[in-house]
Parts: sequence; C-alpha cells; structure tokens
Amino acid sequence: MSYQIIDCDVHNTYRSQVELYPYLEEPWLTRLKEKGLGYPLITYFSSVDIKRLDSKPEIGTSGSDYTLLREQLLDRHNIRYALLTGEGILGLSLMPDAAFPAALARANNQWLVEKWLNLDVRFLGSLHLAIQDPAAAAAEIYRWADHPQIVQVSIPATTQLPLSHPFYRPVLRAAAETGMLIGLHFRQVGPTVPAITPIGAPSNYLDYHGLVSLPYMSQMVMLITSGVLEELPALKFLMMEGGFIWAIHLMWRLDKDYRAVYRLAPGMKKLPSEYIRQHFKFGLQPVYEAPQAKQLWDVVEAGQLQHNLVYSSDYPHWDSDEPDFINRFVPEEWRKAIFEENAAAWLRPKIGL
Amino acid sequence: MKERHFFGTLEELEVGRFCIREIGKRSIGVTLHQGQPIAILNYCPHAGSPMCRGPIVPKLQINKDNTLGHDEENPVVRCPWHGWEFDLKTGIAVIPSRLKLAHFAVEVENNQIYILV
Repeated sequence: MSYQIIDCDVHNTYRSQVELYPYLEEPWLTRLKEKGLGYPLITYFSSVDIKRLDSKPEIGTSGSDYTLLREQLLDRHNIRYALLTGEGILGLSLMPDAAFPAALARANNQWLVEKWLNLDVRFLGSLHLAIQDPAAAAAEIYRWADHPQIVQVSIPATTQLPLSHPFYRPVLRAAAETGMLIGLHFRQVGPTVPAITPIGAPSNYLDYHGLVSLPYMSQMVMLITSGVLEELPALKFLMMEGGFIWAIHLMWRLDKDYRAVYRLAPGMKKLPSEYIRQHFKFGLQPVYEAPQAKQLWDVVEAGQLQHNLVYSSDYPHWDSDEPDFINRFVPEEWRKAIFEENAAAWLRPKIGL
Repeated sequence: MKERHFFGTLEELEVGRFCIREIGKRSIGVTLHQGQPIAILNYCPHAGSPMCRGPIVPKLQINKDNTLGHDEENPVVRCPWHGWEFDLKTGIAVIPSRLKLAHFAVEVENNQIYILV
C-alpha cells in the first residue's frame, strides 16, 4: 500500500535568541537582549541528553539547522509534510506578564515564516501565542489565517485555567473560525508552570515523562463536558507527546458517568466518546512499546482509535520515532491512515493530499 | 398468552413514586402519570437494580434562550444505583442506549388495576 508521510511533530528552533531580534520592536528588543526570554529553559534532570546526539549541528542547537533537519528527517524518510512545532518558545503562555510574551509570539511567528516556512514547501507551521492575553492571541491567529502553510496554534498542555474556561474563549473561537488545529504540547518546569500532578512536583525526568499525560487528560475532559465543542464544532485538538491509551480509559469511564450525571453537562449533546473521536487526534510518539508489538494495536482496536492517531517523529528529541520503527507496531492495512490520511483529513485544504 | 393479574386500586397510587408489588415471580412498580397508571418491571436493564426505588423526576430541558429548565410533561425514572434515566412513558434511555425499561400493559376497571404479564 502506498502512502505519503505527514509528520505532525517536528521541533525546529533558532540557533540563539539573536535570530528573533529583527522581528521584535522596542522596548521588548532591549529586554530580550538584556534579560533573555524570562523563563527557565532548563528541564528536569535526565541521565540522557534531551536531544538526539546525532542531531546537533556544528553551530547552534539541535533543530536549528535547516540543512541537517532536511537531511536527517525530510529526505531520509521521504516526509511529504512536516508540521513544525517549535522549541524553547512554548513557555510564552506561562509567563507572568502579558505584553512581552505577546510581542515575543509575534516575533517568533514572523521568524517562523521567513526563516523556515519560506525555505521548504514541505514545512507546515504552528503559531506560538501568549494565551494569558486572549485578545492578543486571537488577533495573532487571525493575522496568519490565510497563510498557506500555517495550520496550527501551539498551546501548552498545562495552563493556568482549563482551556474550556470562558477566559480563553477568544483563542478557541479564533482557532475554530480560521480552521487552525490546536496542538497541545507539554512545557516543562518553571516558576509559573502549573504542577502536572496534584501530589506535588515530579522528582525527576523519569517521573515527569511517565506522568505527562495528566494535563492532557484534564484538558480533554473539561473541553468535552463544558459544551464548548458544541459551541465551536470546528475545534480540533492534536494531542502531542502525551500518549493516548488513557483516551480509552476516559471514553469508557466518561460514557458511563455521563449516563448518570448528564445534567451536570447540559451543553453536551452526545456521548463523551463521540466528542473524543470527532475532536481529538493523538500523536503516536513516544510509541507504547508493549511486550509484544501486536498488543498495542489490539488496544487501539479495542478503543476504536484507528482514525484518531497520527504519525509524529518528535525529531530531534531523544525519544523520537522514525517511520520504520513505527511500522513494527502498525499493521500494514492501517499505515496509510496513520501516516497520511488521519492527519490529511484535518489539514485540507491547506495541503495538497 | 399474557395473563391478567390484579395489582391494586387507583387510590393506592401516587404521582411521583412507584407502588411496588410482586406479581408471580416478578417485582412490578406502578405509578400515576396524568391520571393514567404506568407499570414497569422493577429491574434496571443496565445492572439489575430495583428500578422502582429510584425517583421520578422531570426531564432536563434546555430552553430556547439557552437557560436550563424542567420538562414537567415528560418525567424520567432515575436508577437508584447508577443514575441512568429512562423516559417513564416509553422506557427509552435519556442518553441513547440499546437498553430499555420493560413496561407492562395496564387495564383499569372500576378503579381496579390489572397488569398483563
């Protein structure tokens, strides 16, 4: 069976913050030069490098060199489209102030277009936003609505309020009205980043990485029960790097609970599982490595999630999954769906597949 | 062939709750709705609870102005265990399901209630 590959999670970045300078106005330019982004870029301690060691270019950090990224990902695996999700910039939405991160978001998005999207027609782009200023974030979405390669807005999975809260409605409405996907992606530690567990902070990267699904679950439950998916039926969420087997848990659990206490969610018009299948797709990476490869697909079929999974490499991170590796887990008859169709169904008409 | 069983009298029935009696091997509840007796099997098709021990409440209604209200004309029976709700008159689950309440035909003669089982 022939298929194209759409990679829904590729982390491009800048060699240094200097690349953003041409796109930033004062007084924010001076602030960036003197004080940096203003949030910690360090992560939990891990005993392995957070990026693939072979992905580091001679100058700059992994993911910052177009030529190397093209060689290691696009050309080597014959990627038809690569959805760029950025790196180092996702903390904007969790900064305590609003005006500086909003300016950084505008600068980042202009940089994305000029320094990446213009280089290769295979690139698709994700906007970064400062959602603590919902009006400014919405304006930024509308600004890029017609750009042929910008298909997504990227939002951290951990937020100060649930995304379903009315505070964020302008952002969700702008995404729905422009047809942009909302990509949820995790953002690691920092002073203003909400904890991902209710029992305190994970103690290290192993704990963190194992628990990273929790905010995705929380967002999904409240997006469904809030009724916002009826209010804005065009909303589409790509849940990246957060796993998906828990979605089956939520479908079965919420469907059961909804029958009893549906009065608590008067904005809903159908079973929770139907909203999940209609409005959420999940990146396969990092793929679950079940004791036997076949067992993973048995679970996928049990949850009828075959049309809700998309291929994502997460290049150049340490736990990235290459297409050949994924093929160990996905039966041949489902590869076209996983690598191409499931994502393409949401990316048309901006892509030519 | 259904058999006709005496259940009780209309005076014994109340709006909003079931009168529960054993008819043969079955437990059956009868209530009044708009002056008419309605009889259901005292057994929830979901997990086997004594269904007729659950409350009879108005169906939730979303008004045209998006406010919430009660549809007093269409009561539902709420399972006393898991909270599933079924339309009292039709037995159809409020949240769509292949499961349905079992109803029995009722005949009234001279205030005497008979159930066809």
